[in-house]
Parts: sequence; structure tokens; C-alpha cells
Amino acid sequence: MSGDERVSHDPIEIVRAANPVPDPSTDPRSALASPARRRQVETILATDPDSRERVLAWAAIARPGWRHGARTLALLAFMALLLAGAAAAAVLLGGTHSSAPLAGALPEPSQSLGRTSYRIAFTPDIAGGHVGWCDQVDFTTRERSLGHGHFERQYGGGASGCGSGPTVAEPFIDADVVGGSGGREGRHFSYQVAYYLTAPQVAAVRASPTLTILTRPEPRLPDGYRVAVGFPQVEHGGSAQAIGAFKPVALAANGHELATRRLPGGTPWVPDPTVSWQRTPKVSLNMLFAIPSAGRSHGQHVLVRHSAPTGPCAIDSSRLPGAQQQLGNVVLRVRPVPQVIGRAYLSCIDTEITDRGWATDVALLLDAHHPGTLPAPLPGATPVAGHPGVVNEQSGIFGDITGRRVGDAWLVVESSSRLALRTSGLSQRLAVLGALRTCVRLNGHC
Amino acid sequence: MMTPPDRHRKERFEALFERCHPEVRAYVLRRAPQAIVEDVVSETFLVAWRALDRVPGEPLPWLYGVARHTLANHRRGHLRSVALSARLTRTLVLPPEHDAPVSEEVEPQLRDALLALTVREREALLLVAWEGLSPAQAASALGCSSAAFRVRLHRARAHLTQSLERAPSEAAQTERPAHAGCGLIEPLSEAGKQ
Repeated sequence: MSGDERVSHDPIEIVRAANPVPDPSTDPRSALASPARRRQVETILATDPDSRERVLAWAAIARPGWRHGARTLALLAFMALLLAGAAAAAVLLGGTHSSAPLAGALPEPSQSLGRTSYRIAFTPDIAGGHVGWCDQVDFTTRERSLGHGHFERQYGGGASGCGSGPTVAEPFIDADVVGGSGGREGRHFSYQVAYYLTAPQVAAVRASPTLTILTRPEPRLPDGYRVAVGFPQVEHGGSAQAIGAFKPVALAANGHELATRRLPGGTPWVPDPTVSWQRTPKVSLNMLFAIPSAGRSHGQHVLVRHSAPTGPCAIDSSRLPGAQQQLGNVVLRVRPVPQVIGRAYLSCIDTEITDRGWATDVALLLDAHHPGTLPAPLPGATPVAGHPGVVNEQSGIFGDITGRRVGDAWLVVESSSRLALRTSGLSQRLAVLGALRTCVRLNGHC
Repeated sequence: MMTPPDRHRKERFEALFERCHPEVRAYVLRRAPQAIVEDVVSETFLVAWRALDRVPGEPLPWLYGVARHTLANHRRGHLRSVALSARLTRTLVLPPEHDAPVSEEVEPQLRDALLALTVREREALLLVAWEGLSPAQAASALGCSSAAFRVRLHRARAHLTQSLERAPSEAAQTERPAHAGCGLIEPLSEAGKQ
């Protein structure tokens, strides 16, 4: 080491010396010189900076306008045919189909084992800090009927996931392509379903270069959210993997592509910060699910502590003898999420509660646009007989969701299989719902 | 046809992009895996395009602030999808190293020490050390006062020094609650217990 070289003890100097990306200003090349950068800029410039104001107009004209858009596409396809041949036109025209319903039988005549029925459900994402929706798809394939509602054999499968509330920049709320197959003794079944939950301005989804699905309104969903359901393999001979690898394109009523940031799971500007916590520092053998043991999870802290951190929303389960809050997520400061289209919910706290071998996930849902005002009704929920003010929503992602209003929030209880071998039923959820005490402290008091 | 105001707006954005893209990209590269860098940079500039009239005369600190939020959103989305997978498959999920908010290029002991800082302390320190911002500029990027920033930076330096003096494994396991400041409520009365 020469006399001029010294080991610095200034932590900033130590960190500076470890800079993994040197100062880019030393590169004399223009950022716009690269074709990739140029495309990046042009993509951004093609986005209407004032597009938020157009959302309602799009929603209002979605159906008739799409027909006009189809003509535009057809004209473009004709021009492409002249210019580039039939292949290009086929790509542009593709197959455009109306959306299938959220539940039904797959239109697959070729499978020899039996028809496969499917069911898709959407429920609010109740995880603390989240503004979004979860979906679940179930498939059932039944062999020969034995009568009286019994079947020789029954096959089941499914998948689920969650996505963010829609924004102008991200009109897809959730999207998935699910497939599977099975069979025995030379007979088989297979299924492939592509489904998309979108903001109101999406009139169609290009699911692949050869499959476009027109969206349809769904009365179980709020604020004009739309769905598109299609069967890629049946109609186009494509595979779920191929379709799943294709980034779907949201199309407006006029046939133009809508700007999409990324898919799926794009997250809107969610209030910050949210703290995750858990009671148990280490994963025990009987904890089938575990968020990471004490420490850090994906850049976020997971605090190990005996109770939820204090935040503006709180859930007290002390009136449930034997129950224990195990883990959850707490928003530390509630802020509106104006970017989300529609009256979505902001979950300001969720807590996993276990009691004698069964578990529930409880949460407080606020209006995402205006926390402190009455949130929208729970979509698809129906009153529970004998329990005034209590509603139940079937087909939640991990089981049904039961809820009641508490002030300007929804207190919801969802079945949970995270921490227990048994999931809760309606009676357990009603017991929990009746015993919990809550506080939503947005203006200094509950 | 593009009107003169539209053209002017596009030219302003292109100038902003040309001037700031390398620094914003470097900022993201220092904190995120390569796979999401271009997405985060694009989203950052998309926000700038939408809010072009609100971009301050000194845009870099503002853009760093936007990029920081965008990165946080990406991490949150990823966290959620991994947690969901765990809920569905009932499998143990361990935190992938690549998702930590410091590039894997950084030497492990220093990286662990940086990760042991609170998010705010770490960001304060890195904005000065890696982005070369002045305290006033960094305070602007973080949306807090210069005085609050200086306190945060002082704590970051002290905590980093402590972490580096400890054994690497010990430093990596240490967790502290976030500190108050810059307008944020700090209600974690029991944070870090166990």
C-alpha cells in the first residue's frame, strides 16, 4: 500500500466505494441513441397523459364502439393483406369471441372421459395494505353418472391468484391462463381457460395473436368491472403455456390498445408503510404455511411480536376465549388511493386468528378513494338469515367471506387454511364476527 | 396533427429523458434485480410524462422519489404473489436473496450491514453515497426537511458503523423498527421484541 492510500472509516465512503453501478454520466452517448431507448420513449409518448378523464366515456360506449373498432381492425387487416400477405392479416383479424360466462361447462367435445365444468369467482383482497381483487377457478370432471348425484369418479383442480385494483395505467386487475389434463384407461380429459378481470374501459382482450375475447359486464362485480373468459385450446389449438407466455393486450372500444404497465399483479399506489408481523419466530412443524421466520421478507420487515403493531386500524379478539392472533399486516398510515378506478376497498389491517384447530383471517376494509366514508357493498354478498346486518359471500379465494359494517368500514372474516388443518365454517365465522371489537382511528378517535 | 403545445411537451419530455435516464436507470440497477429494471425505469418516466408540468427544475431528486415508490410497489406485488403461492401450496417460503433492496453486486458483509438498516436510513445513506446527492437534494427526493434528513443520515452512519463492527451473521439478523421523522407516524411501541 502506498503512502497515499488509506482505509476509510467513514461509512459513507465505504458505501461509495462499493457502488455497484459507476456514475453513468461518464458515458458520453445520448440516452436516446439506442433504438431500445427510443422505443421506450415512444411507448411513453404514445400514452395519453390525460387519459384518466376518458375512462367514463370509454365505459359508456364500450359495446357499440367495439363493433366500430372491429371494422377498423378489419380495414387494417385488409391493408396488411395487400402489403404483407395473408399471414399478417390472419394475425390482425384473429379469432374474436364473446366472453364465456363465469361458470359453465367447457365446450370440449373431444375428451372421452366426461365434460369438465368450471367456476370462476372474484372476491376483494383482504390482506392488509392491499387494494385489489383475488380470483379462484375450479374445475370438475366427472366420469359416468351412477345416478342419484353420484359419479363413478370425479376429478378436481383449480388455481387462484390476486391482482391490484385497476388504474388508468393498468386496466387489468387480474389475468390467468389455467390448464390441466388427466384420465385413465385410455380415456382422457383436458381443460384450458383464460380469464381476465378488467377495468370498465377495456372492451376486449387480445389473449394471443389469434384469440381476442370481448369483455362482458359482471353483475357480481362493482363499478362496471368487466370479465373476459375464453378457451384457448378448444378454439385455437393453442396451449395454455403459449397463451400464458403472451402478454395480453387490453383494447378500448375503438380497437386501440390501452396502455398497460405490466401483468399480472401490477400494484397501484398502495398506502405506505405496511408492517407485516408474526407471533412465532421460527417455522414450526405444524405450521403448514409460514411467512419467513423472523427477519426480512422480500425487502420488507417481518416483525416478530406477540400482537399486531399499533396502527389506525385495530382488531381486538380478547372476547374470544382461547383464540390467538398469529400474524398479519397493518397499515401504519391510511392514505387515499385515488388512482384506483371504481369503489375498491383498502384493507387497513388483516390478522390471522386461530382457535382450537381452526383459523380465520379477519380484516377491516375501507373505501380506497375516501377512507372514512362508507365503503361499497360487498359484491355478491347476501344476508345471513337470523343475523341482521351480516352478509356472506360465497366462493372466496380461501373459502367464504362473512362480514358486517362497523362504522365506515367492513369487518370481514374469511376462512383460512394458512395456520390450521381445518378451515372455518359459517358458524365459526359468525362467532368470530360477533366477538371481535374494532377501532378505525382516522381522525384521532375510534 | 400535433399542436405546438403537444410538440413542446414531447420535446420537454425527451430532453428530460435524455438528461436523466442514465442516472435513474443506475439508481434502479443499484437496488433491484436486472429483470425488473427496465419496467421500473419505464414506469418512473411514465409518471414523469403524466406529471410533466409538476416536474421540478431540478428533476433528478424528484425522479429518484418516483423510482423509489415504483420499486416499492414492485416489491410489494412480488411479496404478495409469493405469499399467495405459499398460501395455496402450503409450502415454506424463504425470502429470496435477489429481492433485497441492495444489488447483489455489493460485497456480502457490507450488503448485510446495509440491509440491517431501516429502509429510511438505508435510502438516505445510499442517495448520498451512490447517487451523489447533497443533503438538500436527498431530502427533496425523500419528501422531508433537510433537518430531518440530516438526523436520518446521522443515524444511518452510526448504525452502519455498528453493524460493520459486528460479526456479519449477527448484523444480518438484527432488526430495528423504522425511525420517526419526515412526517411519518411511528406507532411501533413493541417493535423488534422477542
